[in-house]
Amino acid sequence: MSKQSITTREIINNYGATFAFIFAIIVFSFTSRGFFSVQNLQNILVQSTSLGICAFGLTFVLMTGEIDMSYAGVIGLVGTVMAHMLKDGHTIGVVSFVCLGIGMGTGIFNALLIVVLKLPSFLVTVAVMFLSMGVERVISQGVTTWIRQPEILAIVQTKVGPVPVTVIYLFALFGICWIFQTQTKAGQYIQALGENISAVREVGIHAVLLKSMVFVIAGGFFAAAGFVETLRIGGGIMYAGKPLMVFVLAACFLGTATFKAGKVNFPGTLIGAFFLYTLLSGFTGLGLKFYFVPAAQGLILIISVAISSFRRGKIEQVQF
Amino acid sequence: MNKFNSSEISLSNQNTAVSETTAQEGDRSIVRYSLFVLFGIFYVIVSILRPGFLSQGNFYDILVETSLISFVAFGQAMVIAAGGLDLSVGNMAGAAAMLTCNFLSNVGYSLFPSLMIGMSVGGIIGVFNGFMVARLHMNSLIATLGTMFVLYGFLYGLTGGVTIHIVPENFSYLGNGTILSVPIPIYIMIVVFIFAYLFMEKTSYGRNIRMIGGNIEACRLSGVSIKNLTFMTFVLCGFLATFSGILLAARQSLANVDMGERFLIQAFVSAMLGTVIFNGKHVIAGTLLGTVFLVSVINGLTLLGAGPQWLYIAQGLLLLVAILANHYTKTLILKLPRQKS
Repeated sequence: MSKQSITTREIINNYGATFAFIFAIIVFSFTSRGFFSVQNLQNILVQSTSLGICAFGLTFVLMTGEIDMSYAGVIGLVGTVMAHMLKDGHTIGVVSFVCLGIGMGTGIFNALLIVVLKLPSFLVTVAVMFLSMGVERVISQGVTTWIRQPEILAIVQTKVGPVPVTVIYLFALFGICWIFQTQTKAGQYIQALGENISAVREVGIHAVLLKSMVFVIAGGFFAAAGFVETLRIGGGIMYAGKPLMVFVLAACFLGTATFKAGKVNFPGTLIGAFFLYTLLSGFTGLGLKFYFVPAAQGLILIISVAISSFRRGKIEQVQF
Repeated sequence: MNKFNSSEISLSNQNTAVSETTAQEGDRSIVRYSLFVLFGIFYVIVSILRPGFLSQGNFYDILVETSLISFVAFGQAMVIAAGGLDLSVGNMAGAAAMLTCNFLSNVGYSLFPSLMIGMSVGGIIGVFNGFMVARLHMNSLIATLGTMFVLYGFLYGLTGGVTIHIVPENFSYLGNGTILSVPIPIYIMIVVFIFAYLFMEKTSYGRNIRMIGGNIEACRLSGVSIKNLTFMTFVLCGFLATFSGILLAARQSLANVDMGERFLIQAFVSAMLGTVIFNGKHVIAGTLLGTVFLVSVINGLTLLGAGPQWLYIAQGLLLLVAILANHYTKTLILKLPRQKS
């Protein structure tokens, strides 16, 4: 009897979020109006793209046992800078290099404070988030700048047949991340950083350099997410990253309950991203008010973290 | 020459090894007194430039503002002492204020039941937070971030996002009235301060709470009930946060959905300063001093004519100073390997 209960528990731990995802799709297909229309499915896929790309960056950081909240500021900053540079007539090549530079620069700054100076990662990256929001505010003066070149917007907004092109980007990046993490030595070491940093040092890997690299890579992903998000919206809206703040965290933690129990992993993060926007789209179809969105975001975050952490058996403390 | 130098170095190394604890005490004091000196210089400069800074009216202004923030800060200091952090304090304060005013003005309850409802809401959310952290073993930052968003949506849903303007006379007397020409919030602050201080310093609960934050493994080995005490800190924090929200609503004679949000960062700065000021002892007294410092800086800068954006930057810088000072004292003195947050 006890064996039975243990296996049930393991199934819930390992695949709980996957079942919840399938269950949500079944429920919404009956209750939510127009849930299975092509238009709605395309919307869900397109909306999950920037969230997914951003969450891939965060997944790398979470693997090393740290956290990076700076995406919420970087996405908005990249969007504003992009819109202003395009308005001033710079080519898209230059603009994308500058955006990547902003993201990786933030990553280098984070790495310097967290890995080299050993400051607590949550507080540092929250400070960086506010800092980049401040810079964004100074640049934009609180005004939305729209992008008016259709050929640039087409990078993100075209469709290949019925499939939006952003989805192809998302899956391509997912493939690269997944193969990098599971098949290359560097990817394995990144995961090992979070599980046993002394072992990584013993093998002869420069742990500080590797961890710094993770923060810089994550910064690049955040910038890419900002790039896609800005072109999807069509302009630099102020604080564009703020609504994604809880979603990205929730996608990563939902991922821990999807395939590998208790560990962040790329397939899980991808499913988590789709799951979140499926829920949102379903809620909208049910005709719920706007304030259900933050409440649902908070609840999803709590549930997804609770699933992955209640087996730990120890209180997790915050170190300042 | 070289030989001389190296021998001197080895000698000094020995010295540090022998008198390590004394040197550490010295380092810690430097951090502590530099904060006092910093604020002393600030006081002198502001009172020279603006003599009104030291007037009795401004003194009461500073104390009343301190009293509003101090309740949240006391709660946050307790949570930090036990090794957690509560990000939902601001929204809990807002929820309490909003519900109290809602029951007073729209439903028509009398003062006492409305206050009870407002205060119990903080306790209930505190129980929820404590359950997530102590029983489900969630990281307190992420758990309370979730609570923050849930509360935000819940409050909008409950009230439709409107501001409640009309509050009864006896309620706004709580925030604006005076006894012996001293504003009432100051009396409430003194009472709550005495209780919180005695709780943290003179009872075994308080001592054990501080021990959890200091060394959780030692607590586990010595049989301290870590789960119950961590749970208790979150409940107390939620309960204390409601005081701030309700008094702010009484003082402004209005309540809106996001009125409590400013408490989050201010209380965090005060509590962080509070843990640094007395070497991590006397957290509650330190927090009260930290709150006075913070409020004086904001007040002084306002008198000097600084705009709101400079006040935000000042708060952000104080936060950074508090975190750095705290981190410096902890890592340098205790020489502990940093644990993951």
